[in-house]
Amino acid sequence: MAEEGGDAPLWKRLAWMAAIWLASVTVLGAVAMVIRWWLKV
Amino acid sequence: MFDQLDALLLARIQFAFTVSFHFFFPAFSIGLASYLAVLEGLWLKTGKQLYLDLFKYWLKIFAIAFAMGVVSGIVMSYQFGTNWSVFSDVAGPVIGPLMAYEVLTAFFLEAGFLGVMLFGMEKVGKKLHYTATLMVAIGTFISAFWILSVNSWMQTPVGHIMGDNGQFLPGESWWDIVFNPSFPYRLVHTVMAAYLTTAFVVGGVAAWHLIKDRTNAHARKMFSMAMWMAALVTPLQIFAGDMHGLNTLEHQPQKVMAMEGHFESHPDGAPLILFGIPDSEAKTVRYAIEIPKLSSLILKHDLDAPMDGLDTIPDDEEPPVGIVFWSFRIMVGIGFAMLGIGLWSLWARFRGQLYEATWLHRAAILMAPSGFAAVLAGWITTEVGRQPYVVYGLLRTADAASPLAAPAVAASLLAFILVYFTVFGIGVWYILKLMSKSPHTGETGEKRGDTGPIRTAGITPGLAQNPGGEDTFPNDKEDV
Repeated sequence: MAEEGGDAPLWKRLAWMAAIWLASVTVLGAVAMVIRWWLKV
Repeated sequence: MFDQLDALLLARIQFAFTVSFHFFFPAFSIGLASYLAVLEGLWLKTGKQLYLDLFKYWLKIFAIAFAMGVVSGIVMSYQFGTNWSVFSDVAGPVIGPLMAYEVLTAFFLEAGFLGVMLFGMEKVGKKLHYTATLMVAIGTFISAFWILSVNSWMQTPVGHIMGDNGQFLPGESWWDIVFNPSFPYRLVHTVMAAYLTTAFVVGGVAAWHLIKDRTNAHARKMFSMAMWMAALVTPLQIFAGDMHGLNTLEHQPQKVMAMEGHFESHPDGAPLILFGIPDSEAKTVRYAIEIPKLSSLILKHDLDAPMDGLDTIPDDEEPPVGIVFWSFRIMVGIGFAMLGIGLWSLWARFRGQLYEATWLHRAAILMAPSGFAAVLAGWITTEVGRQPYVVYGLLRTADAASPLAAPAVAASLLAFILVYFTVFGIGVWYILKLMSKSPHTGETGEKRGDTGPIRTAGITPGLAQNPGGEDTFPNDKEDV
């Protein structure tokens, strides 16, 4: 696992963390909606 | 086709099927999340590549197990609305907020930071990445906290008031609801069960690779860590289980009567029935092998202490004795088998044979899935032992189901069975495929021969070279 991220400024690394976190939550939200739709059909 | 079936029975089968399937994954991922945090922490502390290799190896497996756990968990929560709408309506004001906290934790701590764990190392750096790993590990624990609080309230409901419309409403203090009498015991017992489940999977995988190559440094490290867990945590788990049992005797005596197979009261000390065949019709345990007075000694710490039996309660309050009796014995039997493995590993370690004890490795492989069987058996004991109530003593299971026709429940049950076996079967198959490969494979920069340092050709040996660093050497002292 590369460690280049450690060289970037903190704000940039935090921004990446927030972006990946948000994307992950969004994916899970989409999965939950699909399952809900499946159960309603 | 399904007109002759009972909708309530089908709804119960459906919930039992989906919750059993679901429970396998959190039982594994709760422990694995903490194991990953330990591995990454050790890597950051020591700088040894070996810990990073193991972290990456188990992270892939964790991601799949976690994904399957979340998806099957979402189905569980929706099922409260589809098949158990009366329960959701009546108990919703109490259990709704607690379940919402669990879902929020699963979404915003576990799932959110799992993405950072999987894809973020190159972007966020080591320390933020470790923060994400800790968030996931803490998140799995907080999720377990809330969902076990809900379940415990259903087992030992306190802190609520009854509304005029028949609903359970929060009383003066939420603390009474959250920290209901059985919750601390159930939380400790279940979380330790999850840790042991993971430890035995890790130990089994390590043993599998050790049998193929005893010098595999990664497998040695995994095996050592897993066997420490087995040796140290199993006795604690047995003690916690005993305490949980005493708590159950105080608050749910019918469940303990079923676990013990005590159809009759014993005014002068109750025997411990080791094995037998409970017959609920005849109200007896056939072919019972029992030790006189031992049950009174275990449960009341007095050989002659009187013990009430199922004859003291109405028949329609009696849980299904056979299922509870046997699931309890399966759980306890596996617990003591785990203790045996832990003690065996201590003896092998003491003799310096931990990595050479082939029979111990074979036993560890055999015990790899034992944690799953134990948690399932334990869960069946506590859930079936609560019957015929869904909220113990207050709301019967028969009164909690949705007003659905049997064909509707049967159709969704069939769909669940098909989808679950297909989707989760593929997931489990892929996890096993990942586990079948040695932690060496696929890891970067550290692959090397296992027979010793690489030397240059010629009469005079050149400098020893070891691309993976010294931690990849097989080492007899590979302990943690």
